Amino acid sequence: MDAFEILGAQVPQVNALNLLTELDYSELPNAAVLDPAQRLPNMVAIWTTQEMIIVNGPKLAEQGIPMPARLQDLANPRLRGRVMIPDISSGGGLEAVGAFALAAGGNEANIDPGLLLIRSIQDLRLWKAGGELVMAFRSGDIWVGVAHAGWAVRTVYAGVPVTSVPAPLGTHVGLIKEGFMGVVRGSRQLALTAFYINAYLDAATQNLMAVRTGTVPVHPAARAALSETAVLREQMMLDPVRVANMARIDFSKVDIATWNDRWNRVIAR
Amino acid sequence: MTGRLLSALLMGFVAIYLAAPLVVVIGGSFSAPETGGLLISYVEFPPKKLTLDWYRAITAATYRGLGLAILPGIQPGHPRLRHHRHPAFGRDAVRRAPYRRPPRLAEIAILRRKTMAARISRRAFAALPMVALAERAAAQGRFAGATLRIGTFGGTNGETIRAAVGERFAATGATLEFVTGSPQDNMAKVIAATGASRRWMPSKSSARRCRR
Repeated sequence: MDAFEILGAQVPQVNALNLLTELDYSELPNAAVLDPAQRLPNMVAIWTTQEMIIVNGPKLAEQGIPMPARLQDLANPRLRGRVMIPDISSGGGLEAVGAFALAAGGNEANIDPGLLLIRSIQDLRLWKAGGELVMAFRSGDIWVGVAHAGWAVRTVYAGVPVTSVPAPLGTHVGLIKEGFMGVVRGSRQLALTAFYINAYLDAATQNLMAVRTGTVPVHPAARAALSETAVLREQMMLDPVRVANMARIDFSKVDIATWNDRWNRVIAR
Repeated sequence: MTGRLLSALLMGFVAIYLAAPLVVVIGGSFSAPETGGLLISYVEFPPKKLTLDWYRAITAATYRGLGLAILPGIQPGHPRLRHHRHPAFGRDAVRRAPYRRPPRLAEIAILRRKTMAARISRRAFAALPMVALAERAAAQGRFAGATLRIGTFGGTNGETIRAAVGERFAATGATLEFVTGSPQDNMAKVIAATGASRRWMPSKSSARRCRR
């Protein structure tokens, strides 16, 4: 493998293991417009996502259940067996656990309040691949899910009229997840990898990824163009002031082994 | 005499007919519509907002390819280099070009070293039509036969990336392969392949768990 996508949660471990080679930004002219915090020496941000509560509004209205506005609302007994959140091993799992921890008064060093909140959701379902969430919405098995807004976009494409709700997390509302791309140390295809990454960061590519998959572009011009697509405008937070107030998990403070251990003891037991 | 005049007029008309679009393209290359930095692929002519954005968006590899395309067309001015004149400088260079062997790297190196002393000959213009193909040629020369393996999510993600960059990638002559899986899975593969786990120092908490 010459390069691979890296979740923000993996960055400390990837750096500790020294898996990546340094990037030559002169070969990545499209990266020049990125936020400096997204241009790390050995990896560059290629997408972000907005973690949301995804709700099948018409179904809840039919059942007379109020729309959830907070993660705590997912523990409503009337939603028993109808809620699906990411497994900790899935792409959005660590961020989801972090979000529940922040919502329940915990933090990166203490996720137990969040795990107890997750455990209070009756007959909870877990997804490992986002496609499972879309299928569960389509079949009517679930009415509420936790995932990034892109899965809400894809669920709408699948014909289910879901709505995204950003959850209050302490002083923040909503949570941002970042994805990076790095070149594996020892790769012989440095120039070709730079060509690929630069093409990925191109505004047109970023826009296409946003429209089809629901990721939020890192390219400012492509991000500015999101409001031109109705489904993205409805499912994502596009107001820069609100986006600036979204939470981010500081994974430099996270011991992933401990998080997995606590998850196994509290949720997966 | 009349025949030669008509022939010259015809040739002139054809030349103008072929070259006229370049006036629009070159003029439009110094202009870009206001799109908040997003480059849009249509030509705005006559130019409204003068900018070099299009030229800044050209990659370093393209400029290198352009240089390689032009340099063989530069005639060395230094007397000691006269005998290094490139074979493409002949009167019938254009006619014979497809049958010529590629210039040796040493020849190009000599020409590049003496760029400051060189002067552009009229015949260098014979190389200009090739400039448009320079990037592709340079890229093919560098990447033909190579395979790039990218660890990424599968499904719609992979399909969308292929739709967005596939054509540009195919032009390089290289093959793009996706290793699909979650980032955690792909990181595990990289660790296994590089032997990085042997360098991994466990955290205090995981070390404690191992001792239990």
